[in-house]
Amino acid sequence: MSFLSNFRRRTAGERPRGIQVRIKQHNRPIAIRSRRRPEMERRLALGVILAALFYILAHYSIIAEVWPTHGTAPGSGPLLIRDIAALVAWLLLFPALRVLGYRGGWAIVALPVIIFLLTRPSLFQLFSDPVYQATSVTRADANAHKAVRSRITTILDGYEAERQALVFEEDVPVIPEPVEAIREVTAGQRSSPIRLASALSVLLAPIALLLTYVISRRQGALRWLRENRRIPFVIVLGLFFVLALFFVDLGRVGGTTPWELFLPVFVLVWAAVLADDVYNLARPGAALAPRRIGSLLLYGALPLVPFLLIRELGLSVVLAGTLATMLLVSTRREWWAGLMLVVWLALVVAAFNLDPRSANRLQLALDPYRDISAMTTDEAESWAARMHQFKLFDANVLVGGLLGEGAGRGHAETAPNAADDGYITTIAAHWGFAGSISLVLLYVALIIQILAVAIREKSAFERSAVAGMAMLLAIPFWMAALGGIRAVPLTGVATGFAAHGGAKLLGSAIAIGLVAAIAHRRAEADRLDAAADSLHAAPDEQGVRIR
Amino acid sequence: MDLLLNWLLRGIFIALGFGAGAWILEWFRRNWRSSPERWTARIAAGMLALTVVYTVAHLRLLAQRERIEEGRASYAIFGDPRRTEQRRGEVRGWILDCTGADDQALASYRERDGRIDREYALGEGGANFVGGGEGAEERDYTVEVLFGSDLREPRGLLERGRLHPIGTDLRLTLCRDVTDVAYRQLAATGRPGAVVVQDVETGSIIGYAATGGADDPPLAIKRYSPPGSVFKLALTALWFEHGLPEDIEIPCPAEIQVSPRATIANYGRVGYGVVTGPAGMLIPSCNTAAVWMALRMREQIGSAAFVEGYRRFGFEPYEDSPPTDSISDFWLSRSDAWRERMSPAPSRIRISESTGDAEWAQLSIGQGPLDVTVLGISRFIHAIANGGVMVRPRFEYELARSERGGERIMTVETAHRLQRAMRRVAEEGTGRAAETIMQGTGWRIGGKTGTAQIAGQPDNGWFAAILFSPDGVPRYTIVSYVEGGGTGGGAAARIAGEVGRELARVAPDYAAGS
Repeated sequence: MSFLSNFRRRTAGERPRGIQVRIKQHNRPIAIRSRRRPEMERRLALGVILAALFYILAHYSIIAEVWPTHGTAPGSGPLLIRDIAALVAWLLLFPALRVLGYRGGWAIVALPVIIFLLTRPSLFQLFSDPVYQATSVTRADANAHKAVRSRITTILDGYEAERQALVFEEDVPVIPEPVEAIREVTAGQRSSPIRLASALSVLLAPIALLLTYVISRRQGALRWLRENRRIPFVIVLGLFFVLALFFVDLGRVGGTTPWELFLPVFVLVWAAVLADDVYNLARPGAALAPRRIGSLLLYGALPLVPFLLIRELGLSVVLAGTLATMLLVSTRREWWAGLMLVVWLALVVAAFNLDPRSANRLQLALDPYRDISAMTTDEAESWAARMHQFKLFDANVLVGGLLGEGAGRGHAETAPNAADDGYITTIAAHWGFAGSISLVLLYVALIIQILAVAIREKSAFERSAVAGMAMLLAIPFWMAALGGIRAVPLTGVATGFAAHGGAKLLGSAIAIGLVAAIAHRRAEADRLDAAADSLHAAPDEQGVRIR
Repeated sequence: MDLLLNWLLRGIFIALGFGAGAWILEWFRRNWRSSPERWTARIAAGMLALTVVYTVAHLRLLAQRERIEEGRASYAIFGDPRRTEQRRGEVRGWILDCTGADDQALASYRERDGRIDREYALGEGGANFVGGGEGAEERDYTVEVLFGSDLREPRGLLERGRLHPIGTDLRLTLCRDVTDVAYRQLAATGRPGAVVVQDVETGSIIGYAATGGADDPPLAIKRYSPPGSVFKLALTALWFEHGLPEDIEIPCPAEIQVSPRATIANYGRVGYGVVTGPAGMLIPSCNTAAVWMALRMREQIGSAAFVEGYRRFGFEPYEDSPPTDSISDFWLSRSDAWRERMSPAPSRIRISESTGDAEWAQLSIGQGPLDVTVLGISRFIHAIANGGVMVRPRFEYELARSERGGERIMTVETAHRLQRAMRRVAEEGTGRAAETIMQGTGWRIGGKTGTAQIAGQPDNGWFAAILFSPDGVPRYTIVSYVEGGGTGGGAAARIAGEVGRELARVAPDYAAGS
């Protein structure tokens, strides 16, 4: 079956021959009557509309009130166009799915879109800020120009003429353009093809979601993957090893993290392994058979190795946690949970005792503000460099308070990695505790929606695959959200839909596409089952009305 | 517009979040018991538990605001881009002087070479109180710092949504010209010191100048010194308060034996024969007469009356360990940070029934175990000028006329007698230098000199003055202190005279302003 065949209408020749019968609407059984295109729930549609309104107004607020004061960075114009295109692309998902006859829960698709639309303006402010865009070479200049610009524009905007005359004894000076300070350096970065592709991920992600849905909703696609799991597994793992061994520079390939795209494949393969052997895995004796142990290590442990090679502790935790959860969901055995808890605790203790980087992160989370007077100058400098990021994340949280400073306000851009590791603190700076807890609730609602699909699913493969996709979203979300506010050590994993990270966004969109496809198939199957049941029902209940 | 927009956006965000929250609860209500997949449902419940963890952790950070801010401040020396961004990019409100005029602002903005910088009109003269000057970044006790949040406060509701509000002005009772003259006079001595000027009617600080670098504690507020003969005013006040005769003849020999091994001498070991009453003691600042008065008074009214009297005048008596806690209710200010950081150390005196005659005699001339601050003395002098009522000093213009009552620490008669005595000190006694400078202004000055002696160090000069308007009403008090500046009748009196002359020149303007 070719890829394009997914989109092509089947010709009559491919169908079983029969007689065409036209039944009037009022004569159709209730189950068949519901075949009309499914509508999105009204309150969900309202949520999407409100989020889109928020997206547009928040962008406007930033452009009208923040940009003139700070000056815009190179690339801000294209950035705005990209965000407009992204809005259109994400909103087009809904009519596209409707045309394709999507019958799964609309919340599975709507919630990621709402999360994206609510969080993107904050990232837009960060990305369009001159200092956030600058490199270490130009940052000081950009900062200085920004400061002067801020003061001049504020005074011109807010002071009365008499006071302005006292400030500007002669003419108003030229308002500096921070853009000029960094134009040359960032121009080179923007022209990089990989960076460009990464930057376009917000447009590619809805397409990836749709494509994944279209391909996966056919029974054959997932069945092929389940039956031939070795092929995608070997290809993806091989590619991962090659990248990890030869192309990684500071944990990235060309500034991106392509392994985010590998995670859904590993999850599907693991789901296939579990589905085929779930009966034995649920029995302690059988689970310890050498062949089975080998299989578990091959598909469950080997994918973690490249992450360890590139010292990507965060993603290795995400993958390990996801695979372990799938094991639990598939086998439904408490002792697996207990065993995994013990292994997890052992790994945590080992990591924080053996790996200085992990130990350091734990200390930073527990108490970043150590007494400086008890340290030598070198120790103090070293610790200050390490806690610098947290100092500014905390500042974001504090400046936001309960209700936040407003769109783009609060100077979240001063914190390093405010768009990825500390995105939740950026949301807190702009929208306060109320905004960040709202985001948390939306994310939790999304994860529960996905888990609800897993609960409804009758097939073991699909059930564990959906649970795995839920965990692929949930674990990084919690690691980043709790890490940003120092409830757990920060690991630097990206959050799908809410934070910066092109590959993560694509990977998450693929995961949602898969879940949507499985949800759709389950709804279709349930609908057909209901229709079949109705045919056997008593005539006075579901029969054809004869006039 | 932007404020409304931001509230609308906030509303949408919160509404969507709480809509999601309501849906989650509804889902659990429907599915928790009926779910066929126990572990999947448990994982969903785990998500809810993590939401609670997030809530607690986020609120914990908000609750630890002070600790975190302190921690950030302690690491600020290693760089803090947010502080830098705020400091360099923000526009704070102006700090206006007592006139409230923009062109007299103490802190404003000025464009220089394309940059907009915060400008402090008093320069080093305001460094110890307003802000600016050398080491301004390190000073954590100025109006600029301690009222920082007020100065950053948006001017109104409509400004709240702005990225950089223009801030709220703060008008002080401090007068720019007076403070400027005070600082220039002080700086001309080349010695450390301080000058505090208070408005008699309101108790407001209208002039404040002090020397001292960023690493030094604020001199007029935290630095102790013996008050020297300025303290004789307190002794005299006690004399009057207890109804002792005003015209008694008091011996004033060159020196007096106060114990078998201790004598106290007049400055320069000069004798003045016999002086008439406490005022006569004050005019030449006769130490031996003051000792005679103190010992005689102790016999007549007892030690306890001294202890109680000094406490009332603002000098905290102690017996063993000296009090160290700052006077928490000293200032009338709406800033907790100011009261916490800038409340002066208590003026204190070691005096009790067991104090020996030698120490008793020393205390009567403002020496020995007696520590005062310039601001402490200023408050006492202000009470004398204010008819015996001590009020809390204030410097925020909007509070200038608040809490007018104060505490009566001496009778009106006592205060008036002291005022007259101080006039005579300036006219015919040790404070003549100040009176000379005031000539031709129509205003009159009264004062008391003090020369505090610390072994091995040059003398510290004090001059505590009351400035009378041409109609004879006490209008301002001036306390000048020059460390190592010689006698009080020297540099300290001259500074007070020059400040008084400036006040006489500009006072009508201030009257209009206040």
